Amino acid sequence: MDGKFNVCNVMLNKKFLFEVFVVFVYFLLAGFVYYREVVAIKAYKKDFTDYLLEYKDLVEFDQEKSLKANQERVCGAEVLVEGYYSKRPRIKIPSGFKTLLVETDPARLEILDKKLRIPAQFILFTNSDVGLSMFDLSFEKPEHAQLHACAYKDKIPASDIMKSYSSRLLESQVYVAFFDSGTGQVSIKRLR
Amino acid sequence: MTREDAKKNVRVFLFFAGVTFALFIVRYLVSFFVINYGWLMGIDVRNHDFIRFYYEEGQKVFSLQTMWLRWDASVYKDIALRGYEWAGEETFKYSRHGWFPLYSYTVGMLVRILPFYNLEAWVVYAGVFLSNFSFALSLFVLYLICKELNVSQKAMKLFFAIFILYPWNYFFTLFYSESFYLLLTSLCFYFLLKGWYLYAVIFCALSLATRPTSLSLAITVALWIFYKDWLAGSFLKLKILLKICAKYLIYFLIGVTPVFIYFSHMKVITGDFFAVTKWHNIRNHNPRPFRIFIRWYEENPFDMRWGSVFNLVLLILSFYWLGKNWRLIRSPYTLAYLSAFLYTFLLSSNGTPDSLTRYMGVNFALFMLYAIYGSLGKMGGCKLGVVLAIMFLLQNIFLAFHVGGVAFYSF
Repeated sequence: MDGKFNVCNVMLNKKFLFEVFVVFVYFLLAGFVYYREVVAIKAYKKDFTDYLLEYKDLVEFDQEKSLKANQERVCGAEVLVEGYYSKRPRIKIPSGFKTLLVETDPARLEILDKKLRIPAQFILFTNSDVGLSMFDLSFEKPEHAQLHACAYKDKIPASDIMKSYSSRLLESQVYVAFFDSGTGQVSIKRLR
Repeated sequence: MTREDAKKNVRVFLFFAGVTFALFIVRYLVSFFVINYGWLMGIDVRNHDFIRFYYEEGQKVFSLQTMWLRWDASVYKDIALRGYEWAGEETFKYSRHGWFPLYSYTVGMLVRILPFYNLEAWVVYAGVFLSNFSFALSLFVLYLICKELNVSQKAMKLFFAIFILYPWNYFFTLFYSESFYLLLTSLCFYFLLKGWYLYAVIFCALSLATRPTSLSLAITVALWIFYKDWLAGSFLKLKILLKICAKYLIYFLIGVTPVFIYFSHMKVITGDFFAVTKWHNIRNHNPRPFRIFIRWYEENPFDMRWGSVFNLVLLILSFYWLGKNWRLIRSPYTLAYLSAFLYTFLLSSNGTPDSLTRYMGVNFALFMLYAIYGSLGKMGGCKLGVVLAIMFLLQNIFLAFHVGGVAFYSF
């Protein structure tokens, strides 16, 4: 190191090498965050939009009833698809979406709290006693799905349950499919 | 650094950590006299809290969690849990974008790495821990800065005593980004003083991703580095000039990367790359220099909170002290002072009076450092003791009355 600037001197300088390492790690971390917060979300949104388009074909919309349903909108949820089904809907969950059916039996809430640690991209609600048997559910990759039997014994309004769960969920990107076998209401909502 | 120096540094850090912990305990004890309102936090504290003193109809709660979760803290918590996705009314659509993400993001990552199941509650404790830890660490960095500036032992003690007992540093204990920001800016200044510009730029970039007002710091850092290179005559030789240009390019990329990521995230979730800049307009804020003072007198001419007045007096005193040490103004450190000034009066002038004093608190360390530097000799130990006792008392009265609001009336 004679103080003269040349490439060899710079490359052999430990301080310089360490700084290069720091810059490398900095941009590596930045790249990771960029991927997680920008690229992944963009891809997720595209997937979900495609899914919604597919889902829309399965639901027969009734404009008048849909308007009525808007009145009982869940606080903090944006309604993406809403309508009434006149036939038994087939719901095809695309791969990559994990599904949770939320249990409202207080005795099982403790278990579900732990389950909710897993980022849930999709949650199915029903306030039907019949529960799951109402629907034909099919999954492209069943191992990705997490199903729980669902029955509303106490007839708690589904909106209340959604509200309480919405404050506990991990991810901002949570979409909720809402089925009410009593009124025939179907809606997909995005929690805030 | 010798082995002795390292040992001393460890002792100093442990001392500051102890002080921070003691402050935390004292503030917590004061909270016995404070009634908080659960609905302010938007969380159900009944199920999640460690310690509950009093509960009535889900409204009035003494709790550790609500104690540290006031005002903007609930926004930081929300961002840590759910990010920036917001599908509420149009009026509030952009309302969170002004809270920059690094602090909340760090808390969120911390909680997700550790095996906590009840995130709603643990995210609060993680945030409070991060804030207090950052505060202890930033005290240590400020100590290193004092050493770098050759501040005398006596002045240093005064500086830390005032800084620790300064009433508004209550916010350093809360689930707020203030102490984290203080740590990043202190590190930035420390590395600037040492001449290790790469690290200074990295911490400046991180602080910019923590609070938008760090823009003034970025300008300061840029000016500082340019000034130093200019003094060294680096712009006169072509070979060195090329090297410097490459260096500046790298610094620039480092500086803008965190903000670029945040803006890109906004682009994905709102469709607007510059969504961050719009929240002021939507909330009907009209930022302009010194607006805070105008609005203050327009709306509440008789509602001057003593805390704000107290801070204003300290500010004037610091200017007075600095004026007396005119020699310092010509030093490069004036840039740091300029940064603090810009930060407080130009960029932060759109909040409430309390916010203003809180913002001042963040850079209070720098204010006081430059104010005390070289000016302690005339203040005797007795006067110092009285000042410290008064500050400690004020701090806790502030906590009990101001934070608790109507606490004593409720009894």
